[in-house]
Amino acid sequence: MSNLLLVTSPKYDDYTEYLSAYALLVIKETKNLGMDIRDLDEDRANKINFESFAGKSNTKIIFLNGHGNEDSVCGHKDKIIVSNENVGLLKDKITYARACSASTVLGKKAVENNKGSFIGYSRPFSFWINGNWSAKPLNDKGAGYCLYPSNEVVFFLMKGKTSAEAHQRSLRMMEENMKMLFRMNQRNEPGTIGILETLWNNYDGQVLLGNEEAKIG
Amino acid sequence: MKLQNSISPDVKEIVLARLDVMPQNYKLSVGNQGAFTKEQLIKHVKEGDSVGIQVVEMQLSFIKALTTGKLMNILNSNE
Repeated sequence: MSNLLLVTSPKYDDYTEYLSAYALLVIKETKNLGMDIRDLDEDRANKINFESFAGKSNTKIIFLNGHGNEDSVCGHKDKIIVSNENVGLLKDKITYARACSASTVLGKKAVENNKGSFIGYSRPFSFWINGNWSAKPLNDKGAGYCLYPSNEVVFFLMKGKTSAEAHQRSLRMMEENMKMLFRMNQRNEPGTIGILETLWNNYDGQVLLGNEEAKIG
Repeated sequence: MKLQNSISPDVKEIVLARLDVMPQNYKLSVGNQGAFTKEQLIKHVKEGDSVGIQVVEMQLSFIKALTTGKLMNILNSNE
């Protein structure tokens, strides 16, 4: 059986629309890499579906997009899909939670006493949305400075890199984006300082827990 | 960096000034709290509620990164 990438991509507010639009870029790449994909999008991002696929032995990478807090991540319409109750499903998997604060409690439990890893955030994951592009998130350059480096985590994992390499790759890309934004701010380009601030918070809050060597293959 | 459930006037002033420079048509998506326009964020910060506190914490984290040199080290690195 091929390795499976499990993605949750709810779309019911600005935040989830953006996360899911950028997640689609990752999903499209799986075809090039010969990886199986299960995308739980919109109302399919629910606990029943998640539990059904997360537990499969060939599910190697779990990419969660959604609202979250210290001990849970949500799917469609703020319904919790992974929490302390079913965190055992993340055992021995590589999980990237693009959600607020989930590394603080949920992530730690996910990697306890097993070979899995968890990349997530110790604080809110945030980005600015340009109202001119809110219907076309991929055209929103400002949001892209935060979301493209975030996608790199999963791109690198799909290519067989370790969790540490994927995490570091994402951080390096955020650093390059911070440099670009700083230069743009020096040229007084509007909005750049705010975007730099949120990118800094995502950068400073991104953490890798568990087995740093965890990878597919 | 966690704040108590209140924001000092000095900090509030700094954060409000920084929010004010954002363009009119931008919204900040603050994780599990929702997406807010500049005007809404200013209101939340003035009220000192949970959204306001979260925004202030983000700003203070950035300011700390500037004042400690942590951010400038990144910006000046050649890698």
